[in-house]
Amino acid sequence: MKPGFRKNSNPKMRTVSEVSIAVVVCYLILGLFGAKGIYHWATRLPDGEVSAMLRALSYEHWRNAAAHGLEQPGIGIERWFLGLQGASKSSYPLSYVAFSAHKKRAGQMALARQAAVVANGLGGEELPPDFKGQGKHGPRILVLGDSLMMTLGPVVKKDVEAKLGGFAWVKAKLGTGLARPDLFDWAADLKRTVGENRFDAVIMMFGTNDSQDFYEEGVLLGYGSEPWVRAYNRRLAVLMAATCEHAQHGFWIGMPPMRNPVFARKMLRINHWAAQQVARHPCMQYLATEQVIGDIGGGFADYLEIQEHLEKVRTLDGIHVTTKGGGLISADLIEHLKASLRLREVVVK
Amino acid sequence: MLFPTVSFALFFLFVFAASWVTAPWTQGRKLILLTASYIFYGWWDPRFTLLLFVCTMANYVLGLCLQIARDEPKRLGITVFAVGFNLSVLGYFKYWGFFLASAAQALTALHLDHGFRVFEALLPVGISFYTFQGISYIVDIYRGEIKAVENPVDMLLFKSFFPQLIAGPIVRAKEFLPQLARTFDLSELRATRAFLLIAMGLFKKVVIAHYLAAELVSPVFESPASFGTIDLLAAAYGYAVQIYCDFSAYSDLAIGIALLFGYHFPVNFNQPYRAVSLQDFWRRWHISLSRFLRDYLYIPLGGSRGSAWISYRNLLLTMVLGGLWHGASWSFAFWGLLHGLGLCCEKLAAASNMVFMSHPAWRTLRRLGTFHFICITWIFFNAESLSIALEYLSAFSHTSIQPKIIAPFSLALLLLGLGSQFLPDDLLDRMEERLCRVPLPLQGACTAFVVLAIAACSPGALAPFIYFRF
Repeated sequence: MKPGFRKNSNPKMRTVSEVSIAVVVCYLILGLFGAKGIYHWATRLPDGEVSAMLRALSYEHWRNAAAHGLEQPGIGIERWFLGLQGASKSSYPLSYVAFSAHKKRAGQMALARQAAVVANGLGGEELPPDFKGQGKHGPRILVLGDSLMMTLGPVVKKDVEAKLGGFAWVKAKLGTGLARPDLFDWAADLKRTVGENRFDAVIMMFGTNDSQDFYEEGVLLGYGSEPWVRAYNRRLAVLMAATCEHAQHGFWIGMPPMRNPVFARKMLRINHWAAQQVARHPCMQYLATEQVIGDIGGGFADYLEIQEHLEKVRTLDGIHVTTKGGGLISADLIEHLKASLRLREVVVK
Repeated sequence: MLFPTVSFALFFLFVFAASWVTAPWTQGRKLILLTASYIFYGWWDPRFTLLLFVCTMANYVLGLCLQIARDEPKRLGITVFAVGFNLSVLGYFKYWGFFLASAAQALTALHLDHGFRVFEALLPVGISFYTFQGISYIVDIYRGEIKAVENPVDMLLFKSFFPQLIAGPIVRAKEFLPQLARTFDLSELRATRAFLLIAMGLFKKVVIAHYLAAELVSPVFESPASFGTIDLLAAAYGYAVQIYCDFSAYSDLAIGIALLFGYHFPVNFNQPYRAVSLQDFWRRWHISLSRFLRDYLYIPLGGSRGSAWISYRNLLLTMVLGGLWHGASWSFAFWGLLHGLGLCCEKLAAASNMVFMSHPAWRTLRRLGTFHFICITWIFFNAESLSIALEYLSAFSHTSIQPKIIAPFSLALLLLGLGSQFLPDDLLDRMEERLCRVPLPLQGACTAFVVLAIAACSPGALAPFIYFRF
């Protein structure tokens, strides 16, 4: 018996030509239906003439494939899978069992539900019932963002409550941003939220999931192309304009340095566009994070010295921040909030 | 270059075509596979290829010297030197910085001055695997189980063949070299098995391992004190499934890809979580490493010959060194020590031969006990340091049981991973037999659609396989 096999001592063997045909069929199907993946792979290649050519070719191929509906099965499976994850999270039977034990303590239950929702990136679709009474004597802050905000948001919330005596409502959603309003429309959500409730400041942090192609009025725009940059800037402007219309202050937190150099470059470009838009909106302030959570040169750092201890500030993926790292960004943010809202730090017992 | 990427798919296509076009010319085919393997390895860092080449050629020359040497003391001397050489390479790149740092830390704690300049050498990927291959090659020649390779291309290809180079299985010389020596039969490809293994490997890595890590395991292990008992328990089970799916996926892909080139690798995993004892677990988990540790460490140390205490000592030493093989950290050594202690206890209990041990319920209890013991040891394996592992365990004493993170989706993945351990163990063979009836081009098409479906579920970026860092 050959090593590697247990029972099937007489398997059907194939000739090289038979296997070659099967491999060719496999690659043809992958090439036809996986055009988007090939294009995304090409965009991650180091810059050069060959990669530029590959990008152009694969982009053209992707467009043709999309025009002929070859993308649809993949999109269908992707949506089904995302839906499966989302539905699974929102149903929360286990959490429900745990929460029901606390039903008698209604106030506690509302806060717990909010914490669970935030921690799992579904965002608070509804305000806590006692929101109107929250932050009566301190600022009321709205915090929005993608998965990066899932660890940063709770830290900011804690700091706003502990240091400013205010109230922060964190809405964080995994895998979202400005590129895919079909997944979640942040602009519409922001307009609705700030329109219905009074907030003193809005804090936003987006970009992690935005370095991708997207559709604008039915036309697919390639990431980084001129029409893409124009459209992305328009989306940034809509968010910031809505903030300035309803809140006194807005803060855009820039993307932190990333471990992957290609991804880091993309995030730098997103930061550049965001900073440009911030400059056009008087209520907005841009908070760079490179010096807050980066090394001396503003580059990526896994560990930083915090109060004489070396602490891990970034998660294993080199993208997200740990609670300690979030603490650094939050501390910087609190200083800016205090200066802008003319607040003094309070001691909350 | 990771297996589940477009880069690798293109690389594989070129190598596959070139290797079969040149199949009638055996030496040429080997040279093509060798070049491809060095390109694959150099993709991480071209400097690594030089180290791999030097190590391989040193083993090649020492193997020939060992073959030529006639008298026993000379043969033993060459063997000890060659094993020492392989261990020195591994020790310098993997452990030197760690031991210096540990020594410096200990001296500082004792308020003693030390002049150590602590540094960390760049760790070449897969070094633990190919140095072990070198040791097995030399020892097998010494034992007379194989003859030294005369063709350097065979030796270079044995150590660098790309499907197994980075994370195993640890293919032994006596398993692989005879395959290189034979002339290829162009009608002997077990393609259906290969397609099945590739599809299974991709599913385990991209869907189960990735999402369990992202949705459950990583957040809890990062900050265990923030979670309640149910989350901690789920994350501990989750990591057991994650590491199995991650590592066995690599083995499945490696075995499947090698099959398409006409080579056979040994099985590396056999439903390890259905083990009824730790001894049984090590016969099912990372089988190629377990066999290596048994044949080249435990038995040469004396194995179970001699008194019970010597046998326990050998077990503990083997398992601690096996733990350290995974990484230069005390938590890995502690993980190995726990397994060693567990194995000693099992031996002790088996010797007592109590009556209730023959009861059928005892087997189920043992399976449950073994699985939970393994889950506890995985906490030490996954934690970045011993203190984090202890923090994780102490977090279980929190009164809060309220789950914050576990969702039905991650729970379903967890159950899927655990459930796979109890499928019939000849399922793959039966699936292969059934699928063999389907025309091969249709099998290729089905594989493509399965890969596309998995790709649609995949995240934007995939983390490297866990065992790459070992």
